[in-house]
Amino acid sequence: MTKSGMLDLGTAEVHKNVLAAIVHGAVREVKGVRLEEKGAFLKMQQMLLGDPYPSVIIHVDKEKKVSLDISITVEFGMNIPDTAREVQNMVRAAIEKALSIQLKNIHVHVQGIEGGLR
Amino acid sequence: MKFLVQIAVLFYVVFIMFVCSMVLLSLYNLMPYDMITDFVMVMKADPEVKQFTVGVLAVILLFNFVVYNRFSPEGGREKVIAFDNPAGRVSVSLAALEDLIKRLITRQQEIRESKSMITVGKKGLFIRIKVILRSESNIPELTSRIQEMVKSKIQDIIGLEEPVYVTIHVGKILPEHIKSAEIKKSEDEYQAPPHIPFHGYRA
Repeated sequence: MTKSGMLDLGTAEVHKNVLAAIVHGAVREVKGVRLEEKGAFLKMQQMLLGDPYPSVIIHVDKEKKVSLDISITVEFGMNIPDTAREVQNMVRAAIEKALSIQLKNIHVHVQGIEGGLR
Repeated sequence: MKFLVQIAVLFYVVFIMFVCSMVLLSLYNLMPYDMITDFVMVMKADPEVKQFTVGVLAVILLFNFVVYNRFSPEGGREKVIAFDNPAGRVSVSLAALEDLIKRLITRQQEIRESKSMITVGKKGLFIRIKVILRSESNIPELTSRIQEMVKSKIQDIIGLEEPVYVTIHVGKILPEHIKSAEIKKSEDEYQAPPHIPFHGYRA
């Protein structure tokens, strides 16, 4: 990174897992939401690839723009559009604060609704 | 689902072990090459063995197809309702909504079991619910209550103004004795706390 008046000392690389960890933290801040953990495919991915956050998929396009796909489970009774919007805002704010990068898209996939059992 | 995963893992472990062992054995001449060719010749010559082999291979191919469809991200892509926010797309799995409907419905005293299926069409959301009732309740009143409840809950939760059509199919009404047997069973499961005699106060 080079800014006016600053020396270029090298590049700073951030691993995808770091980004995923930030997303994980941001999602936990939203009430009634957690990252999707169930699902055989996610479990196999976690087991075989050693991916600690299989429910966060990070895409980097040719223009170096970052997009996220986040699979979540919401609590029974919550309004999904509002909750998804809150998740998107929290994640965007957390990523901008921690890494100073602008996210292109944050896709939220609601995979399950939990609670509300008799 | 766990069962399918276990079967798939077991199958692929056994299959890979078999193939690797065969290759290793043939590489170190522990299994003569003639044995393999003889086996292939028998498979080709004997129609019964040939049919059996074809059957086994067909089952393996089918199993592979099922596993691929279930576990690959493209093949096993779920049906979703999607809408766009300024920050990105939000998709809601129909399976999640079906699960929600099941939970909502089984809260009703009169309903023993339910199964729901959601399809998305151009005219809106079509929800088909199959229920098994516990007793002879007033079906028109109950079904209209469920329809209202499901419709309002789905519209609330997904926050969309799409029309929702709810169809209810009553599949079975359980007889009274099954219902009373269930109540008796639940009463039997409850164990009263042991009676401790009062021995007076101690200083």
